[in-house]
Amino acid sequence: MARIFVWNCNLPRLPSAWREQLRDVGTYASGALFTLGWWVFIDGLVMSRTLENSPVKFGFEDWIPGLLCTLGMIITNSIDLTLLRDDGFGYSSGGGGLAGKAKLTLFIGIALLAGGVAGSLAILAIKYIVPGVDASVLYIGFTNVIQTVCLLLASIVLWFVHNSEHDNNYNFVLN
Amino acid sequence: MSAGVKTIVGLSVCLACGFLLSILSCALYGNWWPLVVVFTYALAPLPNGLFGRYVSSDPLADVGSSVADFGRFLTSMLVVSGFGLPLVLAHSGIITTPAMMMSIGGGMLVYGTIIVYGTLFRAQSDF
Repeated sequence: MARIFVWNCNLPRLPSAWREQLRDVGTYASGALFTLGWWVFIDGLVMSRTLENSPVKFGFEDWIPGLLCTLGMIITNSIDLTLLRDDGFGYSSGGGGLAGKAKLTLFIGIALLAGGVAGSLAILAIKYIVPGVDASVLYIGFTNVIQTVCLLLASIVLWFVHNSEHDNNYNFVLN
Repeated sequence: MSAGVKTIVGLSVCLACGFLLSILSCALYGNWWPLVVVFTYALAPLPNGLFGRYVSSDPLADVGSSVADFGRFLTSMLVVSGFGLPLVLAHSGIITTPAMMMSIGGGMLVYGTIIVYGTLFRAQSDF
């Protein structure tokens, strides 16, 4: 059976007590990063509303990258990765179709995450850098990028921690 | 037994100091926005308490660990919100920087008291 992810190689050396803690700490860190991202965004929102005669208006388009990233995070982390491994044998009508659907959903989730980051960078360039606003307004544009990068990191941490734990369980059963 | 009583007295003094700091951060500046922080810290142990109990009832079920993970995620969200709210309020000039520091300190005292009390209580119930 082909291994899907590269980082499976070195994780099984960790003691099992650390693995449990890694899962807990990773989940806490992921929640912290997620909330940190949204608070940075809220900070930019509040700053843009309290700033007098601001040259750029904080519109709905600034909300879109964060919403896309949140949606992508939910989609990516709700997929059980054992579904991806199930293709090839078994029932050709059941297993193969399920793996294909799981791959498609995973692709959509990762595309949403990457699209959110790319969209925030595009908004930063179009709305803030190209018109040449001053530093305090430029900060509002950067909050968007910080938010999406934080959501991406939270998603990666959560995904990594959960799926590596699953692989360790799998190895443990085999041994 | 006397050590346990001393611990409980010390923890309750910490809790009272935390609430005092939080209320002072509002009252000294006549601005009651930082009081919301107390609610986030008071609610923070709730998800772990609720969802963690679910795991111990059925340790073999695979659903339990993901429910507990959701509880950890929510706890972490509430704790970071307790830090984020005063920082954002201070950054936008709604509250002053000393009020922000007092609010964060009070919130950390309240939350730390709850956490320490929870771990002590759990250690006692194990025996």
